[in-house]
Amino acid sequence: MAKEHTVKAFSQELDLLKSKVLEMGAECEGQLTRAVDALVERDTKLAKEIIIGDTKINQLQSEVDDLAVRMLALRQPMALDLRNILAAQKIAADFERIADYAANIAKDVVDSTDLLLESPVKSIVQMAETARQMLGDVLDAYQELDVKKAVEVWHRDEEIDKTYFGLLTKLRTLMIEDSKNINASTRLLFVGRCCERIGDHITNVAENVDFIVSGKMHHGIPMA
Amino acid sequence: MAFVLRHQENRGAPIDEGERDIAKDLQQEDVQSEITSQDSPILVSREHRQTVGEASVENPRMLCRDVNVYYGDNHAIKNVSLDIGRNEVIAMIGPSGCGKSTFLRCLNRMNDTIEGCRVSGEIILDGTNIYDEKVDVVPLRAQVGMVFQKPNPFPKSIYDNIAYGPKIHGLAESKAGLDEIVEISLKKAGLWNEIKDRLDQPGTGLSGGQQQRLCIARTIAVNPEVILMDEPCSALDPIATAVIEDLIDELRQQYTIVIVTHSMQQASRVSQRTAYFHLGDLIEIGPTEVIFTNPRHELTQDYITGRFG
Repeated sequence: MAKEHTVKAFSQELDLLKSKVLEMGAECEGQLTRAVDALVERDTKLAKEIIIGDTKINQLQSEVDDLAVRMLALRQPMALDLRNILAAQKIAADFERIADYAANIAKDVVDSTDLLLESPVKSIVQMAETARQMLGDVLDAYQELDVKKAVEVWHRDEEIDKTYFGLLTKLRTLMIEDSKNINASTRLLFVGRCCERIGDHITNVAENVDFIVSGKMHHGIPMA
Repeated sequence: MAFVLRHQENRGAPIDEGERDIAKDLQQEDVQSEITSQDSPILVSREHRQTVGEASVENPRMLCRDVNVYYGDNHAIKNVSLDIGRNEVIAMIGPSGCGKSTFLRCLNRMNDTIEGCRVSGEIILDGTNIYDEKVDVVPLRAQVGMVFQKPNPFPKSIYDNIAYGPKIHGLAESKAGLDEIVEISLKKAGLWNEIKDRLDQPGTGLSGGQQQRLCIARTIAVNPEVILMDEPCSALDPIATAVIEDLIDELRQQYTIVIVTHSMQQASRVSQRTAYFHLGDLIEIGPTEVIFTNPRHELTQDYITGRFG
């Protein structure tokens, strides 16, 4: 649809910016998958790798920021280009947070010696799996600027929220039943919360895909 | 490890920051629940030659309907309809040869002087078609003044540059009245303080930016309602350009300004509405902030993002 810029270096910079953001997203997907594996398997070695791996995503975000600022200052982008750059920065910030939450889950695996509570862990795995699929789809939506797909991802956050509220009920019940469950329950509460927040950040990414295409800003208002 | 992690995370917020968001999220819950599928907005395609956007305004200063301009066989402006609002700065942008200057020149019949030029359609100012046979172009060109690309002061004193117009239009009854017009015009053009002590010196001796403001003052001196500007800053340095742009913004309180510019940054800085021309067609017209952030026509987007040609 959009033609190449007369100044070709500008097009190349825009492509580079987008590829960095996509790379961040793919890294996030991997971190989240590994974090849940580490939780289920109590794999502290893997968990430590995840924590270290977070620096790569932070580094990428820093590169996205630098490139975006440089392009804003030197290229004076307009219209679609302006929206692409603004959205890339915002999406990168969301991915950075998503990666932080994955690292938080991993950190909890390293710190925790509690028993795993089977049913709540199942809910968490379910939330993380939904989030991982959403992340993959939102990356496709961003790559292809597919608003329909972005809207579809946006809606799927409701599944995560529903599972999260179910998880809270389970954990409360476990804690009321037996106070020995309190330590493990509060830890899983925190892990569940991380997954729930990841879902919210993915909806932000979906909103930014729409912003690139339509120029609409959402600020938590439903995608319509 | 926790310590390390905190440091690695210093680009983001601390771990437990998310907890504070719970209340906020719950508040947003009902807002987020109703979502419908969205029609993806599609840009108007390059083949579409009709004007996109709102060409008319309420209570316009000038009203242009179905304007066509021919230079001999060359159809330079094709069926352009566009209103010029009161107290607005409207920018005309587009690649060379798109017709923006031609259209500008229609607004005070500057094209009359070009041989083989024909204009059809209506351009209405105060209820009269300015192309009507009965219209005298001399008062018209006072009412719709013009500032050109290259500053062109008369080879006369600064004072005479301003006083000439009011004199021939009979706007001053006495020397004192003329002095007042000169002073007010120079003040409005932001030039008075710089040159008030040397009004008898030649206008051509001023700097480029000052000369251009002198030309603006000369235009203002004959009480125009509309000021046309054809690339008024293209011969000026950035500082002089900024001074003129600031002046344009001030003049808007009193006048309507139509500016043709090759600088998209200038259009975006000074205007409230922007019109994009391409090969004689008015492709898109809209609020400046919309044209530069979210244009509706592919051709507009190509041009303003540097994808032209």
